[in-house]
Amino acid sequence: MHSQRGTMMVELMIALVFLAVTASVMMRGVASLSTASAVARDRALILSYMKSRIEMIKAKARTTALTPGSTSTTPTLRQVAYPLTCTEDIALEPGFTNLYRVKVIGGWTVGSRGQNMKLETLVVAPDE
Amino acid sequence: MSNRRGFSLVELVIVTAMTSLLIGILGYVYVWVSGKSAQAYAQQAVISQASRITDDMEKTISNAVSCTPLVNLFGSSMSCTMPENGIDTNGDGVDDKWAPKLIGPRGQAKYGASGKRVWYYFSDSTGSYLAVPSAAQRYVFRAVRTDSALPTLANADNTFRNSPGGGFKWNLVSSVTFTADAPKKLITVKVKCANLAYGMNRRAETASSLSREFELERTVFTQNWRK
Repeated sequence: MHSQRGTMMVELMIALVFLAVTASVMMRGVASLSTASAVARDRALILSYMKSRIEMIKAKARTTALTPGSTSTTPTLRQVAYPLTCTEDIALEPGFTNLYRVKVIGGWTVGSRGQNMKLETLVVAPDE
Repeated sequence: MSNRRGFSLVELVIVTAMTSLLIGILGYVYVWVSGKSAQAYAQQAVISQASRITDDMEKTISNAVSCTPLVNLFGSSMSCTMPENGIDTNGDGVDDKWAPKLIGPRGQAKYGASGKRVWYYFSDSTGSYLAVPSAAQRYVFRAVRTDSALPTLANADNTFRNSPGGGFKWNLVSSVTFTADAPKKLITVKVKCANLAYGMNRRAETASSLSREFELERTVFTQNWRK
């Protein structure tokens, strides 16, 4: 009967340790789910910003020629937790005088991992 | 006979205390995991809905000849005049392809300036355009007309409004604001979405309790500006 009482206590202790390990794994899993959700939110906001930049370049191209070259900015986006670097790269297409290749590249860092997105389009400028 | 004695009081107290501790930890973990999962799911739903409705509006604006925002309750409404000779290739109620009306001397396509009017606006559940702001204007609608008059219930686009499984498709969209930069032909759309994780009646919630509010902003150039 002594050994039975001892087993009962040990069982409880084992259950407690098992529970702690399980809870820890679950919490890590849910934390990674939250992180993935935040990354998806940031990507949606950054993609929308980059699309808007392309549209603004198209609007500018309507009346004036574009200036080839690369420009980097660090816009502050509300709700985005990480600093964003946005590079706009404009190059005249070989063999054309008014056709430009426009690239908008967004780069940011989540923890130690670098993330980036690139949008690319052809724009006629001036187009009027 | 001494082997068959019952549990002592101390043993019972220890077992009860440890069992209570286990149940307490289990309960806390369950509540925490459920809450976090619900928030992550709600955030995904909010992002998805804001992105999809913004993409829909972007498609309309970029193909429009011109767009005019109007002030309304819960943001604003907008009327876009589409090119003529439109065809609805995907059957969603709005033309998505246009045949040129004529080709200009430099080879540029001219699309005409008096096509259908596509409206985005907030209304009550009926879908009529409410000229007088009302607290019942909770739902975002799209309507298509062939003239410049205000949309009526008959013009509301049901494929835009209803989700495939029934119910209202844009139930998380709480406001949409349109602003125009007319000289540059740019329209900026701001879509605000909020989840239902903190109560089913989102209109009754205070702003601070809507911790999963998400705002998406998109600027679009009306590229088919050639009349």
